[in-house]
Amino acid sequence: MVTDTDLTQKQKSRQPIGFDYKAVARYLSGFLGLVIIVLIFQIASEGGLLQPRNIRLLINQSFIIMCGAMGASFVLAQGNLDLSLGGVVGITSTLGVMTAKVYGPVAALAVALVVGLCVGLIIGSVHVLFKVPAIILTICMMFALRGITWILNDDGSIAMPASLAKYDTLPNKLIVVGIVFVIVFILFEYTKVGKYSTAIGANATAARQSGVPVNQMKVLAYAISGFFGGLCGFLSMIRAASSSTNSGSMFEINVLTALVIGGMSLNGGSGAKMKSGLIGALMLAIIQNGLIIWGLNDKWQQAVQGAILIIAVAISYDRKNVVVID
Amino acid sequence: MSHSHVLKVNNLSKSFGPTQALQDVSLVLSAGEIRGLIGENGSGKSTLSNIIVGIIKPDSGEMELRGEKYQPHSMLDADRNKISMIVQEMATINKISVAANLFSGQEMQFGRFGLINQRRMNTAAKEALLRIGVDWIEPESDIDTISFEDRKLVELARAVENDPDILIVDETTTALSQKGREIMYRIMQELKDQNKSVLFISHDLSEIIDQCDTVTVLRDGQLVDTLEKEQMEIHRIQYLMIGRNITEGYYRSDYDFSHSDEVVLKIENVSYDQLQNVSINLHRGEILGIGGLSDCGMHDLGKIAFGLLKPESGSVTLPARNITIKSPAVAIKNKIGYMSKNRDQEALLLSTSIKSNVCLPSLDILKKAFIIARTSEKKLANRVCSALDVRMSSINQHCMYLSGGNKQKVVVAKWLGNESDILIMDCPTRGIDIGVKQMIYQLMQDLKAEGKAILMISEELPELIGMSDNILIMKDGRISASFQRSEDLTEAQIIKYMIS
Amino acid sequence: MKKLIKTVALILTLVLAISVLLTGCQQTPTGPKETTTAPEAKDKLPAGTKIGMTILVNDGLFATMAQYIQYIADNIGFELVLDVGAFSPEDQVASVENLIAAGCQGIVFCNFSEAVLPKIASVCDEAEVYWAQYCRQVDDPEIVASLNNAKYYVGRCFENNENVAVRVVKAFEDLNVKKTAIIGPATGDTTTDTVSAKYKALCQEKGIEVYTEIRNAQEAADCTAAAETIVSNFPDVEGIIVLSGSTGKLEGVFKGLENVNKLGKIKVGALDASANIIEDLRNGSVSCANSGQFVDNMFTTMLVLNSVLGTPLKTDGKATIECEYVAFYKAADAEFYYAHMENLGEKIFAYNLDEIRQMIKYFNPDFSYEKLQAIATAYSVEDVKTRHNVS
Repeated sequence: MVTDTDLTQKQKSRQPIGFDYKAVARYLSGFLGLVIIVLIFQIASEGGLLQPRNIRLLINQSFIIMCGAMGASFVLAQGNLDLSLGGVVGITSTLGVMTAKVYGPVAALAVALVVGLCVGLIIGSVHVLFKVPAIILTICMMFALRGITWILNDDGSIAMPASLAKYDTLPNKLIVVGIVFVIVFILFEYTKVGKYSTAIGANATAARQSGVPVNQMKVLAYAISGFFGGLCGFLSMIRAASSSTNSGSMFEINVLTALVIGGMSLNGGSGAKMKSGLIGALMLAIIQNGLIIWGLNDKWQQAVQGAILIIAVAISYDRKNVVVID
Repeated sequence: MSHSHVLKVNNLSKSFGPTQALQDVSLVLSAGEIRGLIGENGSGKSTLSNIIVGIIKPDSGEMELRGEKYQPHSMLDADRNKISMIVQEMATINKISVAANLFSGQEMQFGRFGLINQRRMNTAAKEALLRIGVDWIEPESDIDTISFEDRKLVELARAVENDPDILIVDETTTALSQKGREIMYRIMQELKDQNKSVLFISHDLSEIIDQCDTVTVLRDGQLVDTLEKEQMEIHRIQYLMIGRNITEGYYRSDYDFSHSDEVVLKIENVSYDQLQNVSINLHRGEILGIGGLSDCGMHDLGKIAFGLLKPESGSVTLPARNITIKSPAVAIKNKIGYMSKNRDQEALLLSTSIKSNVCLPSLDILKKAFIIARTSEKKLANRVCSALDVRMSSINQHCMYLSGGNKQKVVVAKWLGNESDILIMDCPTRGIDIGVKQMIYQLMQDLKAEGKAILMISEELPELIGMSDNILIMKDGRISASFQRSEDLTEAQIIKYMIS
Repeated sequence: MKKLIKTVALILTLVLAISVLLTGCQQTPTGPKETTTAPEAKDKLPAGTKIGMTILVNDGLFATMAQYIQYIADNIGFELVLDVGAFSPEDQVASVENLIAAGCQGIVFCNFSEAVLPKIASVCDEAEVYWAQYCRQVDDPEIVASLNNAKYYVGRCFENNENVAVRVVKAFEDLNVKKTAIIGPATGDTTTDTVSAKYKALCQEKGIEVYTEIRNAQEAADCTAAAETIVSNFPDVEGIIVLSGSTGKLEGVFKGLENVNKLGKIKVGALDASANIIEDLRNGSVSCANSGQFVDNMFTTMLVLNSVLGTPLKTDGKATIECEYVAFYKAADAEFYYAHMENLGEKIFAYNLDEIRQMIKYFNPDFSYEKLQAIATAYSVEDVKTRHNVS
């Protein structure tokens, strides 16, 4: 006979006791790609990569993508994509510049955030109400926004009032990334929004049967993505001190690349880790910056970039969460 | 070599990580034998059969086929050696025709110059289906358009077509109706008559006893015993399987159908698809069983009660709080839980941890302000999982690595954690072994005792009779009969209201 | 596998830590390197000069530019760092930052749109890196003002776009073309807008009719459609000016004319040249093409290089070098051009290494801004024929 006490003891013995080395190793392997890339370029650039000056530069070049990638985490966790981000950055940076010229920076930020949020809400609502596949919808939205950006920048580009340039400082950037990180981290790891999103990515039917309001969460995820897209538009306006017909072009691809090389699973679910955006954006900046500091022939740059990306992804990709069909 | 030994399995062992799935198992399969293989989930039945057909390689041990060393590298290899298997899961290829499925991999026998003669293939497929006595499946039809059961029969036809010396049937009969089962049994007997062998894996003890010449019992990866026909006896096999006696039997021993008069869930005049004006009252402390044929509409009714489907007319309400159930979110908020019939597809996030699965419906309870603390998640998951004795490495283990019974325990754990007052259970014991089955039945009684209400939808009559306070039988979208719990109630009394 | 990854991770982390410590302590010098005592060749610049260049894409015109400067760099002794692909303002800023990080003392830059320039100016001022623009005029007076205030901004080089219109009109007059139309990309682009305006003004002056102006012809297929539209609406049209013929757009126009059986009958004048320009000139598909802009970038490089070497060409204000296009009227013009001016295979260019050295004060202390300006204005087939004594 198996008694109750037997069972509980058996149960206890199955619980991991103390420090879980395996979990720590698995967690660290997410950073391995970053470490390797830093190593390669630190050696190749003879120490130039980690000079304080260059570190500042890396932050300069990655912080906008970091914010965008973190904002897009929820959409990715649900197993969807947001390819409208570049369009959002384009239109919000343009509207930001136009607003800043008349009403100042605070109004510009507000306009950028509200417009981004609205775009996200539209995408989410259309996706849910009309069952349009999100990938197609966001591509269409990207074209539409890019078109409006073209129209608004009728002279090709608009310069930001010079007085705003003073906001483009390293501490400001770190503060922004810090705030975004804290907000997204809490939302992602400790609230229903994040947990519901990963559940939807893992299995939408089962999530719904567990009480997840799937449609609302999808709209919310796109709204969050759009909101942070708007923030990125504002930041990119401050950074480039201007907007142009090309503002934000390729931004969605950069964000996606950052997320993927940072170890995010495109299938969503529990393979979605919000730290991917941070790590990936930094990796991307290091690769681009590192190749130039390295002084490699431009014809080799792309090949080397590809090779490095493959190594990085191979290492940081979280295989445990992917079911491979043999 | 003796005349009749077709397959000899010697000292097979296999482990998956820390789990010893199979430990030193040896058995001999004779020609003209139908061998039953039984054991709880995770006892190693599927591992053994998968090794025999080359899907899994053993860590140690070897096999002999017709006196020669046998080391299959793949299912194809096994096929060539005249060993075929019909598996538990879906094994047909979607989006192509029945005939193409039947002959997939061998299309070229109908080919000429690289083109496949569809008509010849269809004719051959029709013949193959008729050979196993199935005349209602058209070879041209798309495999997606036919039912799960029919797809299993296509697989059976395919296996028979290979003319196997050994046929392995891995828990296939659970998916089959009586008709399908009879076809399966007949084929098995025919093979036996041709001096071929069958390895028959099933949960259903009575089926095993009826069909098999010998039965081998596995427990925790080890071979416990092999019984001859005359030694087979339900309690003995059960004892061997779990290693202890099931003292009280499966079902409720009491015949007290009393429950509170308070209606906790009211389904009123609901119509949906074929459902027509169905009204049901579920009371506090009641186990209400709903039975019928698979397509009578009862599964939809369960979904409607939980807000998953929107009825065309009628309503689902909680009279006490005057709330209408419009969505699963509303249902869960009001302490209704739902266990889907399709566990792996609808009830669980397979690639996600046990902890996340268990906590998902309870996040509203766990959160403080809007923050959900890790520790409270862990506490909840550990509490309900140990209460249900989920066999796992930790609550961080992904559900896909659990056995069927343990998966079902996780589903139950979800709703226990959520402290649901009303549980809608759609086929709660489908595809799980007796140990877990018994546990779930016990749990249902405990919940009833606590005053919770259970709506149990089941395709198994003994379960309905054994567990329900009241039974409603449905036919073609209507309630055709109702029965109260009684000692005298028999399957025969009920069944006539299910079929036309 | 997991164990392997764990081990690898551990080793790499250690190596990283050590390498950071070592390289960090070493403090690689960021300033100009100590000059070596070894005697330097007379035709080489002092060691350690590093120039960065941003190119928008790495094909066509930009690739030619990059190859030409690389050839010069290899032979007169400076290091060239290329950065490819920066269209959006933020990427353009990043490109300049990266070139600075790579240790470039001067940057040759091509902006996509001009509002980003003040930001580039402030980045370079902060880093104390000289920079100049190529292929770009600046229109906005506010931006011009901010550039004029930027200490490290050297100047810009751009093409004389009005002369494109002048040459096309001259060609049309010679061919007695009186009824014309315009095909070009969307308005908003300075270069094409200038050509168009000048062309219309000249036509009015000379009594040439402009039937219509079709813009938004962004790629080859649009140009084909535009040409067809013009011919079907104005069957008596005699000439078409193509405001931008690069990346197959001129060929697109040819295709459209061929479709309506008018190729060679309707005269075409264009900015940019087609891929088979020699053949196209020979059979009359095009009557006047304007090409040869790749030297523009070299003039900008000279501006930057001289400033980096401490001998700026212009000490008062900012340089604005206006450079001519090379005009092709006959197949022979283009044949000469590809043999003696832009011959990548044999490394024969419009300005040879000796002539380049003469544009650098380090070799030629007498060189001046005015002289560079004169060289740019004189740039043409005839000019090269006399200088290189070829025909």
